[in-house]
Amino acid sequence: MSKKRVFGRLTALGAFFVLLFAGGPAFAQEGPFPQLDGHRFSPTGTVPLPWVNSYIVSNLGMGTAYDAGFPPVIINGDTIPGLQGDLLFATLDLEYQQKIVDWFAFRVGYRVDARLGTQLESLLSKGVNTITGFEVGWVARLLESRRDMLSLDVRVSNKNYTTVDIGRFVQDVVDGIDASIVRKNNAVRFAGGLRYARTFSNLFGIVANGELGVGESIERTEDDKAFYRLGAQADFDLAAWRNIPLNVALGLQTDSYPEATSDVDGNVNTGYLRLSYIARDDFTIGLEFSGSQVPTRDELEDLNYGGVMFDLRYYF
Amino acid sequence: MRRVVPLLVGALLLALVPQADAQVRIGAYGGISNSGLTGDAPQNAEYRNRIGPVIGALVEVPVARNVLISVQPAWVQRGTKIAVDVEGQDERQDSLSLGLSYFSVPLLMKLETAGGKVFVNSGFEPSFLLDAKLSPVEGDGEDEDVSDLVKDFDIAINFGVGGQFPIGLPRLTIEARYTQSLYNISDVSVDIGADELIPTRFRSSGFEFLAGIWIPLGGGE
Repeated sequence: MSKKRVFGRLTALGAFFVLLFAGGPAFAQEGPFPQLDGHRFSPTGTVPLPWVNSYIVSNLGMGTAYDAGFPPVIINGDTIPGLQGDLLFATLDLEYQQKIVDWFAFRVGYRVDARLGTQLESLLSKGVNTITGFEVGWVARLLESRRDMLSLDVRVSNKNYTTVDIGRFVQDVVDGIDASIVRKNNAVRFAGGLRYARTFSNLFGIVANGELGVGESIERTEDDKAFYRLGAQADFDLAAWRNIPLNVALGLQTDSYPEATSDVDGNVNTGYLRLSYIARDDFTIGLEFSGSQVPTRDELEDLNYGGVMFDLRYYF
Repeated sequence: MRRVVPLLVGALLLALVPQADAQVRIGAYGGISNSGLTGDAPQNAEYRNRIGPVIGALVEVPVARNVLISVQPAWVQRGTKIAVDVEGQDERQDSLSLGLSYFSVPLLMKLETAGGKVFVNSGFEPSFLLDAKLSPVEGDGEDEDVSDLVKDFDIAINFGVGGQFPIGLPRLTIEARYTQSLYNISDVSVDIGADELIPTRFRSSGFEFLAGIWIPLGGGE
């Protein structure tokens, strides 16, 4: 490696640490709940907030993709016509974040995802997939003013993928090679980015995030890929309007390399509506309705996915 | 660009200069690494954790209140056990042990809380392979050098939590640290099939349990 490249990398590392240490405490937060200048923000997992605080959250979600069309399957030279069927998705996610100092917090999470066909056709074509794994990371506040907050976020995830692939198993049996109905794989991802929030009034605020990362593909024959994720959320605190302890948020996210599946062919775009019940300063109940468009390699058309997520979050 | 680079380097040096009332610390530590490989396991086999030693030295430079940069060069042995199907046995049996010896240089940011007794750290750990040996778990079989199947360089991200307690002037420190390799350390460029034990893609991960001692240079509190 040339001296110039080594020097460049050292400089980048130094800039990273200098940037990190610039994030000293600026404004004391009023209680554990994320708020800026009287506006209370809705915490979501899709577009995460920049706050450095301690919390524990559990998410439980379900979703479905209706009438997904699958291409013809060729087994032993015979073509089985294209199929249609529904896909069911389920998610269980637990996350714990601990504030260490005023501007720095650690985070650890564990997540289980499942995808399965709910009809014989989709079960044959897509099988059953489960993803289990954990994520560790940290968030460091870089800037805070009365109405703005900016944080740096770093995370690494290690996920195990288990696939029950009936179609591939049958093909392997026909081919006379070592057939396995259950296939296991593992993928590690590393990402870092920025989180931002701004209050415009007690009623309205915005949240945005962007991250870059690199990660392994679920398919062992594919190389590591760089990816990005961008999101934004418009946030309405109804307590400022009619003293209703409810927050309504509308958000969008685009993800170039989602973790949940290997056969995505392009960005997954997600829109969501979130309702947060905020009766106490240390506890929220959230309901998030989302819809995604998933371009895939295998299906005849983009998958249209709809889901709902229920979460309980406690701040301390 | 020519002006920006010296500015950034200068800022880094300023950040690394200890505060007037802070002291540089030096010390030594050791412990065990309970690590394994994650990735594509061979057919009819699985990776299991393997325990190896860690021995190192540390230098910690205060850069802000309760914040230190910790450099901890160490010799660490990672690796994995490989359990395979054995006829007549219900469960897979540990059959081979892969030992990967590294010289590593963790560069960590350390944050102290609660009067300095509790700390967390995080950072990157570049490692340089010293040797890689595959040996049978039982029996007198000879070690096989498999260094050419493993890359010479690895980089991991670390997350640690621990405590430190005064024993006179020195401080005793204990720590649990999670290490996740970010780099595919397999140096096999093709899929070598179901019968081989080294797959084309794997990374190291696991926990290190460490104990050490450090003293502030110049003495004092």
